Amino acid sequence: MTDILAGIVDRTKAKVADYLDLSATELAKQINAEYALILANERTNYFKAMSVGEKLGALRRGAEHGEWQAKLKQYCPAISYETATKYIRLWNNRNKIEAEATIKSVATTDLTIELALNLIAKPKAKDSSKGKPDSVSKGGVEEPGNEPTPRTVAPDVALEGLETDEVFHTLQNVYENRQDDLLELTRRLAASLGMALVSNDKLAALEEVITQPAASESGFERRP
Amino acid sequence: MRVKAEHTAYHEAGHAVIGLVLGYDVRKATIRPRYSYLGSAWISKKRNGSLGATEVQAGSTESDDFGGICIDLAGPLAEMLVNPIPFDELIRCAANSDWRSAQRHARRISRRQADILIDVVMGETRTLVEQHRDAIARVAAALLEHETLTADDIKRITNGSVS
Repeated sequence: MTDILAGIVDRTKAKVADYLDLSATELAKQINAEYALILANERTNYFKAMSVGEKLGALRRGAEHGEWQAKLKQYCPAISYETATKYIRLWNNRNKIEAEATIKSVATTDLTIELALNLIAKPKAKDSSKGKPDSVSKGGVEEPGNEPTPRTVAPDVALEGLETDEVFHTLQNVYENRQDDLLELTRRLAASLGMALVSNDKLAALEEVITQPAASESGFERRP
Repeated sequence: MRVKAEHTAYHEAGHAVIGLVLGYDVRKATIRPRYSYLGSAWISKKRNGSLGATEVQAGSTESDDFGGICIDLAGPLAEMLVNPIPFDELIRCAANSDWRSAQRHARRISRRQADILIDVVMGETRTLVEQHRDAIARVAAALLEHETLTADDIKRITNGSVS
């Protein structure tokens, strides 16, 4: 009986010692081999994400305005809105991704989802009309005064994960001293939704004109 | 949650049979629920030594701590012979006290290597359970029939297969 337990003790100690005695080189070898597998999967996932993005784009094209989220939830409940947006962006920007990858000397077969998103998230230099490159390539020298703005995340990527309230308060803060710009932005947003901005005073006057005849006809008086 | 009496019977049979296999004294095993336990197996703290008062308890030597880990893990591993629940879920729901006891034994051997120790000993225990699954099945069947088995009952049922 005792021999069985003694055998277990000996084998366990030997295995634990083997595990702990792995040299840094051997550990690194194992880590790199396993990480290569993870990367290979991620690279495969990139092409799958592209394919899914293409189909999601087609599905979205058939959706009425404002119905996309509900339609996505109905047909693809496992895909979050954010993930779907990412995949569609990948597909819609596939040419740009390939171009950026070529500039960076990255083979498209080596791209992962995150890497591809980072490629299209790169901000463009403000003075692009002069034909200067968007960013300085690796090993190049930046000209004084033309350094790219240090931004790690594109605005659309940053806004994607925010709640409506967060976006609203962020915009309020950013445009605190630029009310005209905020008004212009709001006008454009309203116009893109097929609406027009009307001040509260004008709106009240309009409501009065619209509701007054109807109220008198029905025998009721509007009491604000 | 583990609700079937068969699962409890295999669980306690696992503790008892592997305890015997490793040379510990087994006083009794039962599937009669008591307090929060659905069943219990009384096994000595040390091999062929004095009996513990409750469920599997620790020995003071390193060897007994190894034995303690085996016996603690033998219960859930034997239960998995008839319960399709994943091991992680089993130790989270129904065999949490066994798992914590195994961790205590492992930490007594080496606090730094406790997780590795449990992993390795679990492999050894799984092999033992497989090797003695017939004996475990017989003890479990007897527990289902009689609810409680004494040391003599268990030795008689397992005679020839674990000694």
